[in-house]
Amino acid sequence: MASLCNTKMNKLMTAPFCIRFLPWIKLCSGLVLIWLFVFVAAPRVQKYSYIAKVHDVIRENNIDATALVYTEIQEFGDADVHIRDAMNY
Amino acid sequence: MEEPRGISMLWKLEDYWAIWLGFLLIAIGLMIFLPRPPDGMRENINAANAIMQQEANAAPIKTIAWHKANDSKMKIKASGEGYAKQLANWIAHPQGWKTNPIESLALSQEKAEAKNSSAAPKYEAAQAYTAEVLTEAQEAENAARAAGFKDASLNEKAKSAIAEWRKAVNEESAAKKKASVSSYNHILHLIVLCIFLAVFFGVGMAVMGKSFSQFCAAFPVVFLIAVLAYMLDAQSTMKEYGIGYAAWAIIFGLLISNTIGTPKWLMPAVQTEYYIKTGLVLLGAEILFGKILAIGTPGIFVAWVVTPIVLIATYLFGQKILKISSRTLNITISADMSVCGVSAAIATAAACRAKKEELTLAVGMSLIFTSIMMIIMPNFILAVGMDPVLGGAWMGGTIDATGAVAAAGAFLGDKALYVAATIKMIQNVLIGVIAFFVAVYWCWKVERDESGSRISIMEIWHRFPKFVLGFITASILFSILYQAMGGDVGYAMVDNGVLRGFTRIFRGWFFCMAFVSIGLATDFRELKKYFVGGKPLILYVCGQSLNLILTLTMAYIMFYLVFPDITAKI
Repeated sequence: MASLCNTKMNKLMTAPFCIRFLPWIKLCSGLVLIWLFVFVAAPRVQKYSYIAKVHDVIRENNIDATALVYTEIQEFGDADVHIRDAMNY
Repeated sequence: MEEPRGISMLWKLEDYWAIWLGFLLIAIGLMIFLPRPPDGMRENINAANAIMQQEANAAPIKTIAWHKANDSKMKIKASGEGYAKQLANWIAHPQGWKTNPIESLALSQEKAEAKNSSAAPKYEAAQAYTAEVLTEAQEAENAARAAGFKDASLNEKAKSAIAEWRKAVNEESAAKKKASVSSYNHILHLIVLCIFLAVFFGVGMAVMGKSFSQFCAAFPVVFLIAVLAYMLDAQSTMKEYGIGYAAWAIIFGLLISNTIGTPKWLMPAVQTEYYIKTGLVLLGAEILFGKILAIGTPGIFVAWVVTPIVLIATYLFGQKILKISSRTLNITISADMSVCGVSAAIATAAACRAKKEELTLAVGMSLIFTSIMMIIMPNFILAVGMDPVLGGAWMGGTIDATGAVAAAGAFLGDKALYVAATIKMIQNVLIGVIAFFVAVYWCWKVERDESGSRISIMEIWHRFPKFVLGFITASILFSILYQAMGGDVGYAMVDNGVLRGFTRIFRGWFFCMAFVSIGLATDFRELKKYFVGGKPLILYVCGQSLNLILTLTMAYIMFYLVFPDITAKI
């Protein structure tokens, strides 16, 4: 009887706690998943040779592969000057 | 709520505030950069052009002197001046890092020195190798010159030796960057920038009848999430995958809104439209119409003929065959896939007033397909032995994201990179035209069809998203300015001055805050209903398949059958 009471008490004590903190647990889980993706999964997948070859070039040449517009990336400026001069001279 | 009409629209409507704020920043940028050109800019440009002209007259190949003159021109930039670097520090995005996120915000002198000394041996080796291949290239060029450049085999030998030297120069330049790291601390700069932006946008909010204090109280949280998104964007592995701030801003926003919920007090600063429209006015300045002639007629055909055909065909396919219920989702995905990914999606979605969930879906699909195409396309081109000019044009016209085009192009070498980048740049310019026509078409046709009644010209004007006018005006003004200055001075003062040194940094912040706001205001479950039957995915895959076929065909016809002389010059 005493143990049953304890279980009920525990449920009462833990239920509101879970309800209260579940959103925060979800948030933390999400952050952990992001961390796992960035530092564990993505670097592992990167080791496949076809991916590695392209990513090595990006790393070595310090290319910003995330750029949205041509003004965000220096290679586009260089290409502009080079192609223009190649056409003119 | 009824939108204000009459003269009060000018200060009560968000669209107009986006125009005023965007043009304020543009005016500040012009006032800072235009009066302060680099020392001896015109003389240095003229000297470099004279050398290239002389070499072009003497040799049928691009000689070493030609390349050195070309390189010297690339270094003439207003954004490289001391004042511009100081300014850029105050508005900079977080910097690159690998394992320690603090390095994206601050790097001590000791750590900078440690990085430099660990990168120094590679730089020295790269320097030595460049010197070695330069000697070989010089010898090969001298032999071809001694034969009056009339011996085809000697010319070919010189060309390949010079190409090897160029590759070494690029590698040395990348190694130099890694061995010349300076210390920095952006924490104070970010705090000041946050206060500036809070006031900058807050004033507009106050005039539009919202609470300035509530906006300013909430804004730092939106800005902080934007900083976090930029930190992930700058992380080396994520950079290599091409997963940028747009994705991270949405992910962080979604994570908060769908777990602990976006607090009510934060909502005054969750202003997706306000940030996006202001960012788009600034983006207008980057749309320089003169750039479409960069690679001559073949570039116009590949980027400006194929792209609209693919866009319209994909949209019609979505409407008539797939019967996608939302036209705005259809056009946003079609523009995203056919033009240039996220930037085109933002402009099109804003022009047709797409829902935030629709933009999120389009951006998500674009990022996934870009990461895949960035790997598959250059590997395929290499495996089948496709010519780099053709391969570059193909990738430039089909890979969505601009940064991914540079990455895939660089994998195939200089020639492919230059062609791919130029085609993509020409395609970037198309954003302005597409946003304008989508806005007009939506007001004139789509909204009329939906309302089922005829609407007057005044009503069309009332419905027209006014910020598009700011976007187009900025584009026309900067295109005229660029043309008036001439390509070389325009490159140094506008492209690498006002734009790269000032307005595009702000534009990046505004887009990032817009994506944070999208995430913070989106219920993840809402996204599901837009994905019914996998129709958006089918639309994307079918449209992209058509894009791949048409672009390759057009690039081959233009660069090899119609204009082989242009291909030979590249």
